Amino acid sequence: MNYRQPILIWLGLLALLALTVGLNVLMTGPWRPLLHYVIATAMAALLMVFFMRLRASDGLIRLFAVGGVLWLGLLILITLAEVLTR
Amino acid sequence: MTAEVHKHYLSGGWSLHSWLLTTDHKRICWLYLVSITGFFFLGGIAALLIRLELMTPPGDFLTAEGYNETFSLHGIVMVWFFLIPSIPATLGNFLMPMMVGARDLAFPRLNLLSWYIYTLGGIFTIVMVIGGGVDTGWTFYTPYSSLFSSSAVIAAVAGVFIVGFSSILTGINFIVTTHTMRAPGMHWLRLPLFVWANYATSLILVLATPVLSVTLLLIAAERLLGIGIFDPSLGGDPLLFQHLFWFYSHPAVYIMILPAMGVVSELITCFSKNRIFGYKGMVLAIMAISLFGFVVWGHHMFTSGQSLYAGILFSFFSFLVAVPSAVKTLNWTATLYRGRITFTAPMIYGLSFLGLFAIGGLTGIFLAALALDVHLHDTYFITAHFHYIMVGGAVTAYLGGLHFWWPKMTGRLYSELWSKIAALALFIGFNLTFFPQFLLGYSGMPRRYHEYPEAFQLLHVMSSLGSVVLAIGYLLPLVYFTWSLFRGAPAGANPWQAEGLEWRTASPPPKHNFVSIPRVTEGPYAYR
Amino acid sequence: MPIVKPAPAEQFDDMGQQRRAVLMGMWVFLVTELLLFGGGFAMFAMYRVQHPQVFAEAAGHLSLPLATANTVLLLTSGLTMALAEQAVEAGSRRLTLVFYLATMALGLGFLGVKGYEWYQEWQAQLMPLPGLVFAWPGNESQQAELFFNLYFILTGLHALHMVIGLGLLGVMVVLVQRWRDPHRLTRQTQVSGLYWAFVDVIWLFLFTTLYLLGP
Repeated sequence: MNYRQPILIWLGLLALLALTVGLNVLMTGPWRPLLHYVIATAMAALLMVFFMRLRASDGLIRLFAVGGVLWLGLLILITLAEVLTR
Repeated sequence: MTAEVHKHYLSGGWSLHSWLLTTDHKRICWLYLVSITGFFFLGGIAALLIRLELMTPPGDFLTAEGYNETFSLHGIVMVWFFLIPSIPATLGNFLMPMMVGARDLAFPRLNLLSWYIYTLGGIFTIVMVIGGGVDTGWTFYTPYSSLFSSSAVIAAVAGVFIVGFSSILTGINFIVTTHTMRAPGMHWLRLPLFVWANYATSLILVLATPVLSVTLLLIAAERLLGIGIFDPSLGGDPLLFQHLFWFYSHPAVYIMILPAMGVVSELITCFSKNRIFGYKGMVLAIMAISLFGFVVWGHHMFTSGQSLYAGILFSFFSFLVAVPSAVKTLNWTATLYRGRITFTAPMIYGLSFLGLFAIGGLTGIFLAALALDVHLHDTYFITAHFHYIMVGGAVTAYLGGLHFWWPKMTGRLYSELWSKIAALALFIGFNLTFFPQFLLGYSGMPRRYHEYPEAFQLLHVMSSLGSVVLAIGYLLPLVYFTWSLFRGAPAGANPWQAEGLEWRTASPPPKHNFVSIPRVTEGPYAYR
Repeated sequence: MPIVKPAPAEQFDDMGQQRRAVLMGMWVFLVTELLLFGGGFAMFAMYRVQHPQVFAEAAGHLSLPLATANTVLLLTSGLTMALAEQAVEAGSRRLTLVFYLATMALGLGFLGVKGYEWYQEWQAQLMPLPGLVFAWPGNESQQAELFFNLYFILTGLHALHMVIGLGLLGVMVVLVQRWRDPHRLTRQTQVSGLYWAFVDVIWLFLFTTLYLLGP
């Protein structure tokens, strides 16, 4: 069994968590939310690529994963666009 | 070996157990047919009550509340329990595995589960809608549904929520089947357009239904717990409901019409004995419709107070959807050109679809125009427009498909004469019912009212009389199909000389569809 | 322990086809789950841009330490679940059981902490339920209530998914205990692992959206 890789990924996830919480405590300003989401996306990507084995899956499954995220983006983007221009 | 060949999927017995616990997609198709037909006639009765009330200007047959409840019942049953599952769950269930050359769907047990969820959820909802006097219309718009309606909205919404899972399961099943279960040689550009259409429909089901689920959940929570997500007096925003609702319900229109387009592609090619004109264009159009369908939802909200800029964008995208639809209509027409056309009953339904869909589609362009929509919104013009698409399009194609594949499903033929009469009754009755409604709406008759000024009576009476002819067009098939089930002449494997894998196996097909899995060497519609 | 010879279900041609179909089906299902939560995220986004100040202030009333601890628990459970997948592929029943039980314990821990958090918010009178007093120590009490409504809906929906996931793992523990058909167990473990990791991913975005967008 290969323990190394999952544990490394886990450590990476914890480091990213520490980073985002640290930012929350220390940093102020308009860029902070963006950084939080960038870090959350990085963590989600680690989880999906390694723990959910996207790396070893065929391209189609990757396409589904990306497609789902894009569709959610579409919903949020268009709704927000309407609210903000009201 | 020969005994094995003659054993078809229906010869497995008629015991209740062999039906209610079956995992055979062909038997599940029949289960769906029974439930869907039941729901369809229930919704139809509600429609007739509506038309009966509208025979005379004053509200003399139904009270205002009774009328609200009746059109809510009609809408809820027809949209949620008939149109959305109609073609995919019945014909799609029967044909998807056969057309891709598989023994069954990828997840047969989920398929059966999906029927149970659908049927039990549907019956529960209808009992609640009738018993609880739900009067919100099929859209459950807030804040009326969440604050003011004193009817069983929670139960009805819960029922529709449950039935949503059935849609999702069917969608997953079709997507995975199309991707992983194709027979050797059946690559993507050899798939019949019916498969493409159901595949695109499944994508919509999977991507849109969950958003509806969470929205319905919130209506229930809002009524139950008094939280104010959609309640303006508590800081909420009713427009948010409309956004989320139409994010599902506009693509749902394509859930209803895309499979119908798939059916019509099969009908037109078979009865003109021609290859489909522009196969790749058709595939692209199907996919384009399903994708564009997701960015036009705001055209239901032009008069709701949404942002004007968003309105302009939504209007533009709505015009865009007309392009692939027009491509499809053109290609069907071009397929007829120099074909050897035979006017069988399925073909009459197919041609009816072409005409009715064209009218429905073109009037849709009127409604996509921002300024014109202000005048036509919430009038009978809208009612007529979407009935031309939903009934003239989807229901006509559903019946056409049923007539086309009936010999395959049962191994028997039905009365040629009566089926043609029924198809014509549908075309005439439909136009008589709904064309006057365009005129009514254009002259200002609003929808969802049980009384109206006397000036509108002539058109309303025409519409009501038309609905009787339409009802005959629906009842006739019930009679001759039942007759055919017991007395129909044997059909043989391919009564229409049609192309396609499903016609290369016996009628009715053996339990695993094919004696041996076919090897595909050419594209679909290889006529001539 | 009777070991069954690997054979695909009757609709499939071979094991590879079945495995691909099952994994693809699960992924498509997860996409539907994503969009279920997506509706909630869309709602939150819409109100967040409409009432930025009071929403930020309300986020400050949530307990970041507890939520961070919970994230650690959940990420660790993701690790043990990934290890369970490896263990089942390596054919070790004992290790698989250990990792499954560890995952369940961590998941239960998450729910415990979450429950304690809700209890705290109830005590602080920040739970907007009928019959309870909602006491907001600032302006725009209605908008703050909206935040807490969304908070309870989203975390509640997530907790419900955790409960379903724990149920799934419970069934898997029984199946691993029996160890009938290793091929099937591998497939089932992968599917459960996908679900568990997905619930993890959703939490990451809930955590960011609800807790980190404070003042």
